[in-house]
Amino acid sequence: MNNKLIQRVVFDRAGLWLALAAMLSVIAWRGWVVTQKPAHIQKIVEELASIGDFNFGLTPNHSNTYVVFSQQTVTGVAFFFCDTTGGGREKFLCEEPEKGYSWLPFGIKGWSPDDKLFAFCYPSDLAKYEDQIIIYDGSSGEVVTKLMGTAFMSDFTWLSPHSFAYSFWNGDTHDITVIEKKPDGDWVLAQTLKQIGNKEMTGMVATSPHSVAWRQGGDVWALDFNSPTPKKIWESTTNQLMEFTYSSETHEFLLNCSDGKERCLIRFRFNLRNKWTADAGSISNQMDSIHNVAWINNGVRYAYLSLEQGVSVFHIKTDVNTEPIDLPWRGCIENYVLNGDHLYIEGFRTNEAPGVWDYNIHSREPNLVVSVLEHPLRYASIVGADTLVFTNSNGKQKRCLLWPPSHIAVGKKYPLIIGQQPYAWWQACPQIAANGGCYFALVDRPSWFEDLENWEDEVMKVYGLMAKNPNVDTNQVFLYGMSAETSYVSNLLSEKPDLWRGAILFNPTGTPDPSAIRISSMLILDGTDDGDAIKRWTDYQNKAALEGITVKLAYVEGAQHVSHSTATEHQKSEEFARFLFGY
Amino acid sequence: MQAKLTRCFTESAAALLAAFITALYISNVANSKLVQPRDPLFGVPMNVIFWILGAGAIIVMLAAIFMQKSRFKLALILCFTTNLIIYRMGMQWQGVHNPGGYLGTLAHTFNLSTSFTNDLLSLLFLYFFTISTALLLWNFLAKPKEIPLKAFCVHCGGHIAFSAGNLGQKIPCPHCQKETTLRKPDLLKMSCFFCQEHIEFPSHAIGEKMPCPHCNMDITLKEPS
Repeated sequence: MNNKLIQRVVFDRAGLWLALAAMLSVIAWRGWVVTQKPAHIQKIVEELASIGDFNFGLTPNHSNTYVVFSQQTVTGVAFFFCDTTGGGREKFLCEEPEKGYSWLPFGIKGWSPDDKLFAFCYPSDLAKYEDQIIIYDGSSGEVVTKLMGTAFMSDFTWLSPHSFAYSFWNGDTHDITVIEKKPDGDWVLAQTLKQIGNKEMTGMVATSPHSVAWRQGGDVWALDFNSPTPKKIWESTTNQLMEFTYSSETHEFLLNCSDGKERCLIRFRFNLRNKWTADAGSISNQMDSIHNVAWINNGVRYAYLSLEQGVSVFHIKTDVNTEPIDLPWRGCIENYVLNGDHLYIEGFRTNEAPGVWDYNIHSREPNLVVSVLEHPLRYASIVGADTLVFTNSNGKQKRCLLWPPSHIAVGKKYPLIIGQQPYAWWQACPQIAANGGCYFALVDRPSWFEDLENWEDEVMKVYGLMAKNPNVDTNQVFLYGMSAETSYVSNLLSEKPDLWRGAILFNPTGTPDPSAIRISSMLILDGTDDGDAIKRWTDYQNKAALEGITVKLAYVEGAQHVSHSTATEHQKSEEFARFLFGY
Repeated sequence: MQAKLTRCFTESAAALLAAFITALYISNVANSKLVQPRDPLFGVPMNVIFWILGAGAIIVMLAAIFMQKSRFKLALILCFTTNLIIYRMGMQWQGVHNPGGYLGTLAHTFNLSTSFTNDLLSLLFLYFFTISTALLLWNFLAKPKEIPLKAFCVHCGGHIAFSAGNLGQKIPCPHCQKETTLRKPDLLKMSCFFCQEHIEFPSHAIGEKMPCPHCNMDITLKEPS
C-alpha cells in the first residue's frame, strides 16, 4: 500500500520532476553566467579596492629620517608616521572618519626647523568651527600638546623650533596668529596681526623667526611682525605668478610664472636690508605642465616636474645655464616632495607596488619606503598605464593614460571605457577593468576644473584613436565620469547615442535626458549623504525606466560627494565590476 | 485526449513557472545591493514586485503539480496569467511602452538583452493564457463519456449492452430474439483514489480505466472491498 502511495504521489507526478528540472536549469544558467566573468574577479576587486589612495600631506622632515603621509583606511582618512631609515615602520597618528567627514582643516602642517616636533591640524568641533592644533614629538610620533585653533585656518608655518604662525580668514581679511613656547613648556598666543591679507592670500612661508611671506594673486607679499603693515615684494607684470618656494638658507624665492604661452622660473633674492632683487634667470620652454617647482639642496639646486611625451620627468638644475638632470618615472604619480637629495613620491612604477618611494637623486634608484599593500597581491596585478599623446581641437597637446587588458589575445576584441580625469595616479576602477580584460583610457586633466570644458572633445579624440585599435570592440564602449564630469558624459550620450554601450557615473551632478539616449543601461553610484542624492537619483531611475533604460543605482551608506575610505572605494569597485562584467 | 492534454499543459506550466520563480529570486538576490526602480502602477520597488510575483507563481505551480481538479488548475493558471496581462496593460497605460527599464536587472543577471527577456516573458504568458483558456473551454463544452449499461436476457442469459436512455424499454434479445426488458444492472460503489469522491459503476466495468467524473484523474474501477 505504501509503495503504491509513493508511486501515486511522487512518481506519477511528472510535473514535479519537470519543475525541479526547470529550476536546476535556471540555476545552471546563472552559474554559467557567473563563470563567464573574468577569473577571480571578486578577489581582484577585493585586493585592488583595499589599496587606499594617498591624500595630500606627504611631509618628510628636514633630515629625511621620518615622513608623515596620509592614506585612506577602511573607515576614513588617516595619517601615518614612518621611519624612512628603519624599513618603513608605520605608526598611526589620527583618523577622520568618512561618516560625517567635515570640511574643517585636517592634515600635517609641517616639521619644526630642528625636526623635533611636527604640527597637525585636526577637526575638533564643527558646530563651534573649532580645529585643534596637535604638536607631535618628531622622533616618537607621540602627542606633545593640543592647542585650540580655528576652523578657518588657511596656512601654517614654523617660525623657529619654539614658535609658529598660522593665517586664518576672519570673514573680511586674513589675520595671522603667532604662537610661542614659553620656558615652562606651555604654548601660548604671542600676538595676532589683523587685516594682513585679502582672500587670495595663500602659501605663507616663514622668511625668518619674525617674518613671513605669501602669494596674493600674482604678487608676493611679506610681513615683519614688528611692522604693522605688509609689503608687496614682487609684482607680476606680464607674467602671472603660479606658485613659489622659498629657501631659508639662501633667502631666495623661486617663482614659477606663466605668461599664458610659456612658463618661466625666476630666482628672486631676499635682502635682509629690506631690499629685493629679482631675476636670477629664467627657463623658457613650452612646458605647459611644469609644476611643483621646489628648491633642493638648501637652495643650491631647484627642481620641477613636467610631462614629456606622456612620461613624468623630474628636472633638477644647478643653475640656469646648465642642462638639467632628468629623472624619468615610468608609472603614475599622486604627489611628490623634494627634500635635499631625496625625492619622495607617492605613486607606483609599472608592475610595482603603489607606495611611498624615496628616489635618490644621486643613485637614481627608487626605494620603496612604505608599501600600501598589506599583503602581496595574489590574484590582481598592477597594470601600468601606457600613454597616448594627442592634440585636442584647441591645438593643445594632451596625454591620455591607457590601461590595456592585462592579457591580450591576438584577434580578440575587448571593451573600452573612456573618461577624462585629473590625479588619475591610482584608482581601483582602471586596474579592475584592465585585470578583467578591458581597455581603460583616461585623458589626463591638469587640475579639477582646468580643461574640464574640453571633456567631450578630448574623449572623442581618444575614442577616434582607440577605434583604430583592432583589439578594441567598438560595440562595447562605455563612458566614465564622476561629479562635474557627468554633465559632459550626459552631453556625449545624447549627442552621439549610437557610439556607447553604457555609462558609469559616480557621484553625478548631471544626467542625460533618458528620451535622448540609446544605451541600454547605466550605473549610478552616490553617497547617501551627498545632498539630496537619494531622492534625485531614485526619481531619475524611475524616469529612465519609463523610457526603457535600466539605471543600476547604488548608494554608499554615510558617504558624501567625495569618498574618503577604502570601504566606499570597495563598494564602488564592486558595483563597477558587476556592471562591466555582468555577473 | 482532453485529460492527457490538460495534464501535459499543467505539468509544462508548473515547470515553466518553476523556472520563472527561480529566475526572479536569483535576480533579486544577485542585485540585492542595487536600488530598484519603482513600478509605475503601485509605486513599489521592482524587487518587491518580483518577490510577490514569485510567491504567486509558487502557489500556482504547487497547485498545478499537486491538485487533482484539472478545471481548478487551469482556472488558477488562467487567473494568474490574466492578472499579469492586466498589469502589463496597466504599465502600457502609464506610458511604459518598453518595459526593459524594469526588466534590466533580471535580464542582465542571465546575460540576456532586455528586449529578448521581454519577448520571452510575453511568449510564456501568451502560452499560459491561450492554452489554459482553450482547455477550460473544451472542458466545459465536451460531453462526458458514457459507459453503456449491460443487462442479461431473462430467456437466454445473453449479455445486452444498451444506453442509459433506453432503460425500461422492451426489445427483442439480439441473441434469442425473444422480447426482454432492459433493466438497470446492479451498480457498484467505490471512492476515487485521488479525490475520495463516490463513483458508481456497473459490475461489468470492473478493471476498466476511466477518468474520475469529479477530479478527471485516470482511475481503475475496482470491486469494492
